[in-house]
Parts: sequence; C-alpha cells; structure tokens
Amino acid sequence: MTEVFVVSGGAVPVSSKHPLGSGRVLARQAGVAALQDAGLTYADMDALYCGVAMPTSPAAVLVGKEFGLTGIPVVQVTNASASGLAAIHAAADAMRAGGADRVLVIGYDVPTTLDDPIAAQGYLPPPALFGMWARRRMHDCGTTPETLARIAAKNINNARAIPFASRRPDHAVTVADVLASRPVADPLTALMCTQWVYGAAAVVLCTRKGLDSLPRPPATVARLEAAEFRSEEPGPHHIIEGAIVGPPAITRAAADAALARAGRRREDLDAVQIHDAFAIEELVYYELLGFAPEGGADALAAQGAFGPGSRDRFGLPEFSTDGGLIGRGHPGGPSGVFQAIETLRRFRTTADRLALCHMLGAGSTCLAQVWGRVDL
Amino acid sequence: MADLTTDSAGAPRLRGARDPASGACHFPFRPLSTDGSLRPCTEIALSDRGILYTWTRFAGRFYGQVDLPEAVRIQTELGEGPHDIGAPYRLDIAPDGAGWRFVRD
Repeated sequence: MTEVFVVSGGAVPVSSKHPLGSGRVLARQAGVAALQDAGLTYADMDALYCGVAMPTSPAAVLVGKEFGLTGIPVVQVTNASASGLAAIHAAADAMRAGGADRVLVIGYDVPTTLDDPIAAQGYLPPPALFGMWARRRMHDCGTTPETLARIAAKNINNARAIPFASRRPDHAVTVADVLASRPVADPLTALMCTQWVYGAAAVVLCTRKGLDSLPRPPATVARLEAAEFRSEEPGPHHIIEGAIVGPPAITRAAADAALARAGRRREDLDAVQIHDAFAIEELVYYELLGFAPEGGADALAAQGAFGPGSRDRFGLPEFSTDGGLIGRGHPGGPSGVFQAIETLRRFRTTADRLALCHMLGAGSTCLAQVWGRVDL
Repeated sequence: MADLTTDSAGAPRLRGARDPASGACHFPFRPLSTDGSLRPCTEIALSDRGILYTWTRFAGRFYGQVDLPEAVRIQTELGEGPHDIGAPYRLDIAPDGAGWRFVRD
C-alpha cells in the first residue's frame, strides 16, 4: 500500500484577536510556513486539501488562489471540529489512490461574522452538553471538580512551550487557579473549557516517492500507519440531533479499529492527541481508549498519569502534549492539523515512536489516526 | 411546531418515531429506520414524563437530559431549579405553543 508521511508543518498563532474575514491571509501564512519547512513551493504540490468548519470561513478554492493558479485539485472538507483531521484523511485516501505524491493540507477558520453557527442551528451550547457529561460522571463515578481541574492545568501548562498556543500563561497554572476561574457550565469553569478562537495550520503530506524527491530530506517524519473515520451508530438512549459528539463509544470504536489496522497495541502509544474541548472529555477518553477501567481514570490522573513523564512512570501515554484544545486552542478546522504538527514535533524532539490523533466532529463523526515515527 | 404532535386524547406530546421492526424509538421524528434498510418509521406521541439523567446551568439557563420510558433521551432546556439526577420531570409546553421544555414533576 502507498505510504503517506507528514514531512513538515506550519501555523499561525491561535487567537481570538485575528480580524474577522482574515481567513485567506492566515491560511496562506500557515501554508507558506509548512511549504518552507519542507523546502518546497506551491508549484511542487499535486493537490490542496482544506479542513474548514465554519460556514463563513473562506472557500478552499479562494485560499488556493493565495498560493498560485497551478491547476491542481482543490478539495474542501467540512466536518465540524474534525474538519482538519478529516482533510488529512481525505488527502491520504487520494494519495493512496495514486492521485498525488505531494499534498498541502491546511486547516483554517476565521469567519466573517460573530454569528454562532451552533446556536443558528438551534442546538444546545456545547459547554452545556459537556457540563452535563461532567455532572453525570460525578454522579456515577465520584469524579470531583479537582480531577477536571488537574487535567485542564496539565494541558494549559503543556501549552506554555508551544509558540502558537492560545493559552500561554507566564506562570504554571495550578488546580486552584482552574477551580477559581469563571464558572461556565457547572461544574466546568472557564479554564476547563476551550476558547472561541481562530487560526490556521498546515502540513505537507508526501508519498514515499514524494519524500524521496524532497530537496531537503528531513531527518524524521511521521508515517500514517492507519486511519479510521466513523459516524455514529445507535445505542441505548442515543441522542441523534444536536451539537453532539456521538455516543462516547464512537471514540473506542474508531481508535480500536485504527490500532488493529496498524497492527499496534495501545500499550505502545507514546502520545495521544484528542478532542479535549472540555476537561471532562479527556477524562472519559482515558477510559474509552482503554488506558483505565471504567471509573478508574480519576485515580490515575490524580497520580500524574497522562502528563509529562507518564510513559516512564506509569507505562501510559502522555495526552494533549501541545496543550490540546484547552491549552493550544480549538479554532475549528486547524485543530486536527495541529495534532499532526504536534505529532511530528514530538517525533523530532523526543523519544516518541508511536502516536494517536483523535478528533470528533459535532453531528457526529470520529477520526482516529495512528502515526509512527520514521527516521530517515 | 415540528417537534410536537398530540396523543389519542388530544394532549400535546413530543413527536417521535418508532421502527416497527426493532421497536426502537427516536426523537425527533425520523422517517426511516436507523439501520439503513430504508424501512419507514411510524409516528408516535412520546411520553410526557421522564427521569432526569443529568443537568447543568449555562449562561443563566438550565439544561438537562430526560430519559423517557421509550428509552429515548431528550436533550432539553429545563425549568427553574433545584434539579436532581433521578428526579421525575414532565413536558412543559409554552402557552402559545412556541416552545417546550421539561420541568420538575
């Protein structure tokens, strides 16, 4: 089967301060950064794939014009929060089909208005949904706000080292800081939730042929070992409509399938990037991904599992190593692309050899991608 | 309102769907079964009472999920608190029919 690699990445800072309507500019800046990281130009690309979540962000074909008019296919993928990872998935499919050896994938989202696309559809606000997740979890498992605060503090502190992260406090954030932040959706506080932010992130994908022809071969790349793309299946008390993220089990199904196809075990994962828009999600995903028994993740998190040094201390992967959606930020389309960038960064700068990226799209979809390190 | 129908006594109810083969019920109404077989669902008037599964408060409003006897979970705005998981709730329709929510029974 055709191999697909992430060879480079680039991004602009995640921020709420980007001007409305600046999506084309930010996407160009991120794309140019990724191309320059690989020593390539847009003229070297066989296709452009864009992950875009917001309805008033610029169309991919307009973003393509920012780079040049080279006649290549321009594909726009829209799948809510999962748009960026879905764009990588679609690009990899096209590369395996023989249609391209070098593909630029950009996730971007900057709307032209402040309208809330979720409220416009009549759906409940996402913080309310995840506040309800948290309250039920507290009822069933005895989870405390301190556990949620511990996860949020870990992710925000991870983001302090990431140049494009939206939350980069000048001091280490404590559990007390998180608990003392503004209440949002009881029991969730502001620092347990992602922010409403904008941004752009890009990666260059290559087949082996594309990789071998790079003018400046990188020392380390990330190889897509397997990818799974799921939509929801009904279960007991299934909520079908809304800004929902499926039955939580969609995460387990997607990740298990991706790991099985890759021939890998979850025990081999060094890092996991997930859809941690709210701290309660990350706690639940520890268990759904099989790293703790049901109701058992709280105790592990309290001991420091899933944070820095987790592999050595607990034999468990680190989660949300660039701060995740809480710390680095969740600008929509870019979020999945940021996960690929973080995976490549970890492969380049740490001993990591295997990583999982996971995103959910409201509605509901779930993507899981297993990435392996390749030293050239 | 598309979400509403009436029961056999003419009382307003949430408009749901039942898969005649599996018996599975859904809300909102959906014309076809969830298994992809294109089997038509029948319209049903869902129970107007259920049990609160979870709740929260966001931006000054209460939201909850209410489990109905048909194994349907309704995501809904709630009336004023206090709210408790496991407590009984009932459908509350605005007098002008413009909206609905659940309130403690």
